[in-house]
Amino acid sequence: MLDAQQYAQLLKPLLARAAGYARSILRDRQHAEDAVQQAALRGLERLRTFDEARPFKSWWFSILHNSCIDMLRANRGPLHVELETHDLATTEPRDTSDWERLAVGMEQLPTDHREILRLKYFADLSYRELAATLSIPQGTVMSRLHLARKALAKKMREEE
Amino acid sequence: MQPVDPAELSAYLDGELTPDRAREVAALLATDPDLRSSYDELASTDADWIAAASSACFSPVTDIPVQKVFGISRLTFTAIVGMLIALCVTAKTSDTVVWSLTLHAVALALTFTWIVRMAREDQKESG
Repeated sequence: MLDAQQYAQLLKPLLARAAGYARSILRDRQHAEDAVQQAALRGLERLRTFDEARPFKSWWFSILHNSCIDMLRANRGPLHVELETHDLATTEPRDTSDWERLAVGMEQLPTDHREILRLKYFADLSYRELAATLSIPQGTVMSRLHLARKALAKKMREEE
Repeated sequence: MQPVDPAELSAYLDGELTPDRAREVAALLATDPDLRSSYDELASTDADWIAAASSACFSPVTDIPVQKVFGISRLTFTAIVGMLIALCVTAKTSDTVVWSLTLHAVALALTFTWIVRMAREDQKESG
């Protein structure tokens, strides 16, 4: 079983990507940072549940995903108010960055497409890691990712 | 040679095909202009998305309470310090010079190892 020190060492190189992944879901830097911190602590508490036959990245990004969803639920009210206030206050459209446009595009897709694309692009997971995270065979990863890419490309073209 | 399935083209782009199949796809890409065009379009879009997704990354401030002092657990740290104190006390109260010298040497070796370890940790942290 992993000890806390090994866990910290495995986690360290994943943090920047994890922050990007959390940011793509929460769309807020501070909330993303909080979600990563929460997932880091949750992972530490659940070290006993880590199966070493499974990729560490898959296991930990599943925890991070759940932390993001919890945070999204907890902050749903305030976040929406902030966004609405912002939209009302500005007369010109907000200067959306590339990652936000990508995240918005993904958000409009069905859940299975959205999740696989977020994990592929924002979390940079391999097919093996995607298969383990989503609990699907690698062949399904290949076909689902292809369909999801097609759907996202279509959506992004429509947005332009 | 089997024709290339569109999903396989995605997997080829991601470097996720088996080496044999990747060689076959590469050969087909070299001879089929339509397939090449589809691949180039896919690769261009993919590169844009990768760049966009990377721009969302940042280094978050995280605190993982691993309960460590200089890379070892607090318990081990306490045990080492306790052992050093015990060795020094035993050495002082020892009857024979040889025994006293041996204990001092062990304490010195432990201290030296400890200093080297701390220096390494500092080096790791600084870069």
